[in-house]
Amino acid sequence: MAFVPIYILILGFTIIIDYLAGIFIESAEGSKRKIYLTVSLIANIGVLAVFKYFNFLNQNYSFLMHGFGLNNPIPYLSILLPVGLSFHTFQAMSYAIEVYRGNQKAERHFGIYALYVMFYPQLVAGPIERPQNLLYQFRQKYNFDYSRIVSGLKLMLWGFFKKLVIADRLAFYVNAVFNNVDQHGGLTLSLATIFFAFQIYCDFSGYSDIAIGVARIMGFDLMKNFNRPYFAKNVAEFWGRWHISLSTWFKDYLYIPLGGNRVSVPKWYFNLFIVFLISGLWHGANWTYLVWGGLNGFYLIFANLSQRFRESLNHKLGLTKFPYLLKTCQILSTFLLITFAWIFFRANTINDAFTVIYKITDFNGPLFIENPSKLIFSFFGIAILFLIELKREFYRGKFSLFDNQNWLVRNFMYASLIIVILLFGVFDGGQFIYFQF
Amino acid sequence: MKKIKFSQIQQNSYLFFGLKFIIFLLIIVSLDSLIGSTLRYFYFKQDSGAEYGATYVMEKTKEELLIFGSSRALHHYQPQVFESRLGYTTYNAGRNGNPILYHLAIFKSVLLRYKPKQIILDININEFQKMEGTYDVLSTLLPYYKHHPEVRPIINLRSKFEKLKLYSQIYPYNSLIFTIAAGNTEFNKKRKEVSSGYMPLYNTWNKSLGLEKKITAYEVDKIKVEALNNIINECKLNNI
Repeated sequence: MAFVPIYILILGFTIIIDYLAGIFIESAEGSKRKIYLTVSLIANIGVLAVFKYFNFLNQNYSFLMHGFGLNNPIPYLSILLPVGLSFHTFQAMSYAIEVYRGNQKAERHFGIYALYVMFYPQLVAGPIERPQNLLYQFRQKYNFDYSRIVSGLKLMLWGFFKKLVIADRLAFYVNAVFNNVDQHGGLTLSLATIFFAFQIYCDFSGYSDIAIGVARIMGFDLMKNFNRPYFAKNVAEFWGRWHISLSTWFKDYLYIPLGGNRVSVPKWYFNLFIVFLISGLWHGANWTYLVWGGLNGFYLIFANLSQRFRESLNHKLGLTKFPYLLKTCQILSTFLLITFAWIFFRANTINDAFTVIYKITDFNGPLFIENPSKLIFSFFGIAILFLIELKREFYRGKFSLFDNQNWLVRNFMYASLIIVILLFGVFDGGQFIYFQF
Repeated sequence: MKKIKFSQIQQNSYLFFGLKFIIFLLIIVSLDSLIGSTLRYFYFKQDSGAEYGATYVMEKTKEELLIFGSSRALHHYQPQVFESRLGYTTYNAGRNGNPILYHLAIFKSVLLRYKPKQIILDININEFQKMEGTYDVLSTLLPYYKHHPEVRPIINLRSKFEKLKLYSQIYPYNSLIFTIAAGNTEFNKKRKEVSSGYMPLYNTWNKSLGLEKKITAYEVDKIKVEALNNIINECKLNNI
């Protein structure tokens, strides 16, 4: 990551465009409103296209041209991808769309609008906020609120735990394996893939927790971004629990405008697929992300097509008589499907992804253990996460340690969490994964 | 003087927050101090492993010849060979994966106690390459920060927040709990195979040696070059 001060101008450009677009859309009537919205959307998508997708498209164009024995005359751009570009661009677009739809009044105060786009806790990796939820909060006055501060600090601490103890620890193993997929066997690649499922979750949800916590301390409420996604019983539910702010963004501004599920079945499946494909592309300009998005879209379509068959199979196997067992099977199968798709998300190239899949199928080769301690710490972190999330998901109000009625017990638990971070956390870890998007 | 009741504190949210925050900090400081001291005790009580080796070199060696370097030094330089050929008592102070800055820190500690007659520093062609996260491995020196002021400037290269982090008693022993446990038990017998610091490797390499014929240019880390100059100057000054 590099610090290039001039890149602030990109942010300034989108802020000015959308600030003016909001005012013009509100003041205009008839088709002019649509024109202003279109200008705003083109400007935002244009910035994304230049900085994020130009070289990717150009590279593929070159590949195509070479196929015909021709050279590509278009030069590559020597530019860096500004940190968090996709996040604040989408947040800015949401403002223009909501003003156009009449759900939000245009913000006349330039400073407040700029703050909406640049609000620092969520500037670089979300949650991608909506103007209706955030803008009005900037006009309110805040007093010292004990419970808000404590609750924000607790959330931040939990976020740091996820990032430092789990995500960055798992990153050692995942990076060592995924950066050398040819050197590792199926067993190692399987473990690294499962580790990555937890790494990406803890890295991204850890950041969201910290962002929401910081905002809460200052008095602002940001939307929930994760809701224990690995306890989802099907892929559709997973997407309702994972990166909620992006899922709902795509639902509100792409899926529903395309017709959602109120269209013919083939069109509905097409809508689902295209939304997930674009969601994949949103994450990065690489075929790996496109396949990852497409695969998730396929899961949803297949789940819908096979719903009756699966229900009948559950009935025949007698699983319906054991609801807990059925639920466990559903959670596990969803986790495996999602984890399988993560292979494409993490792999450096599409070839690497297929190498991983090929090797995983034979489950062969020794288990790579660089350092037994690191592996134990990894499992330890996942175990703590699992127990805490299991309790929060299924045993709310029971075995309360972090929410204990006794203040001293509660504080001892949070103090212990800090001690665990000091003992097992990785303090030289890298950036948050989602900063690159 | 008027007494303040607890209910009055509860009503004042600033005071209430402040009071609870102080108690919370006290719990953390107590736990940190207790666990950190325990880890420290057992860290320095180890009698095998790389950490024990580092402590031994910094605090106890008397050998006339010391060998510094990373894995190539640790696994290739057998002290007995040097002893029989040169007639100097020899200790292998090599350590896996540690850069020249680590060896400078250890060497500086040694010089505060005595002057060895000779030292060998094993470095390879890529030793001075500028790399991201290159100073992270200097965490191996963290346990010595408190009682070895000579290593502090090198530890501080890790980050500008290092001093702040080191207020914690646990932090120097971060991620070392199993290593410390192994160093205090007979759990891993291989750790005892070390002879005068030298750690033999018994595996067989069946592939080609892949000797690098081409030297590729890289960006030089000036701090690492400075470390080499520092070691050379110390040797000159001390007639080593």
